[in-house]
Amino acid sequence: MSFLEVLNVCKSFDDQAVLKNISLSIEKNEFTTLLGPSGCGKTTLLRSIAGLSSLDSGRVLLDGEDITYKNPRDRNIGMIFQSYCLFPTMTVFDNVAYGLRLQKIPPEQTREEVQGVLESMNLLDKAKSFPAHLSGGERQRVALARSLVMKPKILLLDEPFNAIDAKMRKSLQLTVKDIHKEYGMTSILVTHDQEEAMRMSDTIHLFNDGVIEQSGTPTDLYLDPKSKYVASFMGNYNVIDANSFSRVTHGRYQEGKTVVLRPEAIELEKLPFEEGSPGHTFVGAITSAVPQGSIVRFGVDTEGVVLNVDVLVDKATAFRVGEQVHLRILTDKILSFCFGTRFSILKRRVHD
Amino acid sequence: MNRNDKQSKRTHLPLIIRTVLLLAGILLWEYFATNGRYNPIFTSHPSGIIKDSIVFVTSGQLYKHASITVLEVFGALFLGSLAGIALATFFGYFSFAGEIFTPIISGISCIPQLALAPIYVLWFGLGLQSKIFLAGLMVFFNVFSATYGAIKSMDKGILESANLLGASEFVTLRTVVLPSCMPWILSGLRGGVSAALIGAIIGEYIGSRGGLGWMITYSTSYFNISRVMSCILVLLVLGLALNKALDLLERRVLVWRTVTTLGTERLKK
Repeated sequence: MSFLEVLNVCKSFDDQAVLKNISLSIEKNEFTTLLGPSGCGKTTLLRSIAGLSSLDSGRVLLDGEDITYKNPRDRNIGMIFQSYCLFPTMTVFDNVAYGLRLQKIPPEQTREEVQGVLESMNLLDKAKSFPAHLSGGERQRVALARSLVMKPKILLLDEPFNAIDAKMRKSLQLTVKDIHKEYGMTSILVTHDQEEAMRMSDTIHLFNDGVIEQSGTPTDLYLDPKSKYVASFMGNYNVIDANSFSRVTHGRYQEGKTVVLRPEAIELEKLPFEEGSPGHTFVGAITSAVPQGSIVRFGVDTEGVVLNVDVLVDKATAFRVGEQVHLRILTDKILSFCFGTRFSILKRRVHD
Repeated sequence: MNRNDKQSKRTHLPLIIRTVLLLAGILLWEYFATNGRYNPIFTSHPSGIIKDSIVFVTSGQLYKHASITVLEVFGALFLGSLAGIALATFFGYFSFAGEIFTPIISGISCIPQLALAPIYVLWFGLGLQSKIFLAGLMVFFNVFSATYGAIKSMDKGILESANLLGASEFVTLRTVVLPSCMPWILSGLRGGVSAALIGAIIGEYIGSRGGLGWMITYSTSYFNISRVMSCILVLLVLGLALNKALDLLERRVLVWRTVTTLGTERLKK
């Protein structure tokens, strides 16, 4: 039996089903992410695990114990909120000591434990500050410390990095990851940020409108999406209808299907590819170039279809907007779907 | 002159100007009233007020009447704010009851309480109770609406955090909710202080056997304006003292708040 089991969980708000018979299991020490757009039910599920939101049906088991109807304060679950939710009238120290004091832990031991966790969070010099005088990143670290000091069975993170600036966000993500390892924590992160999910998780459950669309490792979801939805959510996939794609590549793709392919799976060259080289080769014109750190994303127009093509930045300097370029797509990189669900994978046999 | 000297001069300047203006006003008042420029029966004059104040104090009248008014004000502040905080908290937790009753309470608060003062005197008599009831009700409306608003606008996540850390609802109320609502409760209390003073004085105007309000109406009927002014001076001191006490309380209780000033910094050459 897994450490956390969510079994056939349903929840509606005003006749609107938010969780539609969800089941999932999470192993001890696993870092799991519930990923999806806003309103897909991921936060509701997280809140149900914490006991902050009641369920219409289904059960939640933690460490072998049915906690479906248990009061949140008896669950020993830590939760980090997007808006930090620190107690504004208490100092950092008192915030972190709050839970221990409620448990009537002796003051001396409380002080030691609080200082220990503040030290590991690099917050010792802020112990006497009030939350209003801290930066966003510091506040979220205090919130983490406040949860960790209670040694929770499971740590829930509800979009904790949203309100934090980009640079601080990266370092906080690393902190959370480190804590997860150091404390042997079992963590569930809720986010709508696909890159964040890829960076942090052992397992991702991708939500779509109250159901789990696909579960797996980040690489699984990225390289082997089971539906158009997953493909378009996980990567900046090119999504093209089969007709147009056949026109561009002079290949034969079944009408009514949709073809998706990752932008880095398309090769770009100034000179023509060798005669008889594998895959589809064709010509296009660069219409746009957007630098994105280590890569540049080019828009390439071929017979009215604009494909996104990612090129590593040192190679990208060779290309200019307006230039004519040669493209190649290896057939095993092409995925094709029918009515949103995967119909067949080309690498197994679609193209002749 | 170094920069610090300049700055301290700048901060003292408003105080100096204010004092000079006030002194000038008092001197002009004294001059015009005593030189027959107008009939001093309407306003009395500073030296007359000082003379009367000395009699007021030494005769024991000040103590007798001021203590009645102070008792009414404190009684009203205590009972009114206690009831206000308690009821606001109750409705905050039992939101169904809150939905039923808060519109009624805000409806009643729209009636000018002073209009009801004669009825309260009828109910509770000429003693302290009618004044404490009137003033207390005015304090209650101030504190209740401030506290209820504060509780309603509390971040739900903070309450949930406390719950997840093991706090029961009562513990959360005591350790998290009420402390966080303190800025609003105190501002309700500040409104309550002036409401309590008004309620007590007007209550005494309408029907009483003593108190500063009674003394004011009594003295006015004998054209003893100096005594009226002495009473007003005492009320001024009382009001200032209560406000100062609130300032001190605020500074102690609200150390955790950041203070914002609306002015933007001016660029200097």
